[in-house]
Amino acid sequence: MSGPMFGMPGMNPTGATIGTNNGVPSNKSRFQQFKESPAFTVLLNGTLFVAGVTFIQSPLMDMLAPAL
Amino acid sequence: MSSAPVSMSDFNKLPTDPNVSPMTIEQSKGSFWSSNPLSSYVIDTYNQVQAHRKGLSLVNPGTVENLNKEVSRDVFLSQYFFTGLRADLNKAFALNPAFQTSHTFSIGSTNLPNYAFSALFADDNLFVQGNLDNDMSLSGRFNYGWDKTNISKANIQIANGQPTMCQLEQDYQASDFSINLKTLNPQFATKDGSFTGVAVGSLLQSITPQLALGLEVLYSRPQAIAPADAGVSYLTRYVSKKQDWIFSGQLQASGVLVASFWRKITPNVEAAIETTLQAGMVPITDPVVGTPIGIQPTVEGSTTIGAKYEYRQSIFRGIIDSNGKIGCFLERKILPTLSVLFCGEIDHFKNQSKLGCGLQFETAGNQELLMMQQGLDVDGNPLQSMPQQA
Amino acid sequence: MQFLPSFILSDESKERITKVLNLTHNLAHYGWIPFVLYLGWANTPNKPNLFNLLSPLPSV
Repeated sequence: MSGPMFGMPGMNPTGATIGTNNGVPSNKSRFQQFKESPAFTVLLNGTLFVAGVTFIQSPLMDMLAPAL
Repeated sequence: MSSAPVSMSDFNKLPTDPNVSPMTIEQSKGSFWSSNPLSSYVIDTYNQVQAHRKGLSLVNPGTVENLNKEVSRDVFLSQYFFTGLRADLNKAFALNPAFQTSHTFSIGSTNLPNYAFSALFADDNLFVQGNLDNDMSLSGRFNYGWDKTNISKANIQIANGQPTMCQLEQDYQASDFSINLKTLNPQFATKDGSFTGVAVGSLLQSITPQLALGLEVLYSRPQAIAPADAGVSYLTRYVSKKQDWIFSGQLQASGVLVASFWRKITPNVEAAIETTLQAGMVPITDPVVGTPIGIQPTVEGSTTIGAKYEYRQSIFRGIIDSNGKIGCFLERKILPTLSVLFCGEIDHFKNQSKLGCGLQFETAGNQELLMMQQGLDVDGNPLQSMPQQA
Repeated sequence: MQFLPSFILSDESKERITKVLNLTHNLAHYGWIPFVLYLGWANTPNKPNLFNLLSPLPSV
């Protein structure tokens, strides 16, 4: 985030100046904050893995195999 | 043993019924060690433990290197993928012992050399392979099996302008565990005998007939002046009772977690999924000044799902990745001596694509093999069953 | 603390060791493929000649 030229509503009025803690912009929703955290990646890939295993083990995968 | 000593001859004079012997057959046959009460106790306990171990009907868990072989080598494309055009001319001189040479021509590829020659010789207990390309960089492999359980391996890589890599490896596969010791570029300083290089030791032990747990210890010291680095990785592998699905997991010392699952759906269809999570630290820099102000844990992850279909004349592999990558690899045998390869990959998130096309010719170094490749025996009569092509 | 090496090498022997190492390196570099080819050649029932070994064309 580059320092804004003009004050934006909901933004730290001083912008991101030296020394101040960059500050998590408060206009980010809870979900967005969560989406950027490492826990999201872990959860997403974990879910994908479990879903994939379920899919591979399900009869659906058996149907994808051609009967030669 | 404070009691009065009894000489052995007295014992032997005792009238004994052949069915009721004061000593068991094993004991009477045994030497000093098995008749001595102290050592025989140790030997008996050892035999009991061994018998118990045998009773668990454990099987060898395979090597650590092959922990997720079914997923990453059989189903996924990474082993087979190439870009550009290539042609392989394989020439077989003998099947047993196997001896073949191969010429590979390639254009438009970033990682394949324009021309490479390779030769392979494999015996029952010897495997030698060499590959030399147009830049005169050599890669060689030498495996020697001392017996069924002990294999020594050596790999060497010599490239012009690059440091030589040499890896020595020893594999020991017992009835229910595997040990692997390897070292990369080992060097002992003449001054104080300090070790530089990488040393890895791993152990994979079967706990039940299905489950195996393992440990890998890595010690690395690239330069004598730099401090050494060490780490422990944890491994696990579960093979289902019917051996139709396998789960394997690895937690590596570098902070990588790999979970993979493989299933054989029918004899010619396999499916696999693999999830990789890489944990790391990324320095946070000040957005204005650019100086680091702290570190932040990051996790990068990707999940890949893929399938392999094996038909009589062709093999198809396809993968989809959670980072927007779709890839496929198709290998089709047009003639008994000619196959066509096609591989393609599209990265949807980065808007990139890769394409590779190849031809593979099989030729023979003698009359018998030439006829065999055509499906005929030496006299030109059709063979009963098509031989497996190398 | 002074650590004495278990054996002290003169400059000449150091040079000799470097020479031997370089020679081994070159031998492995250019001798490996011929070695594999020789092993294969010696174990094949019909000893193919050098041209057949190196040419990609079928030799029948």
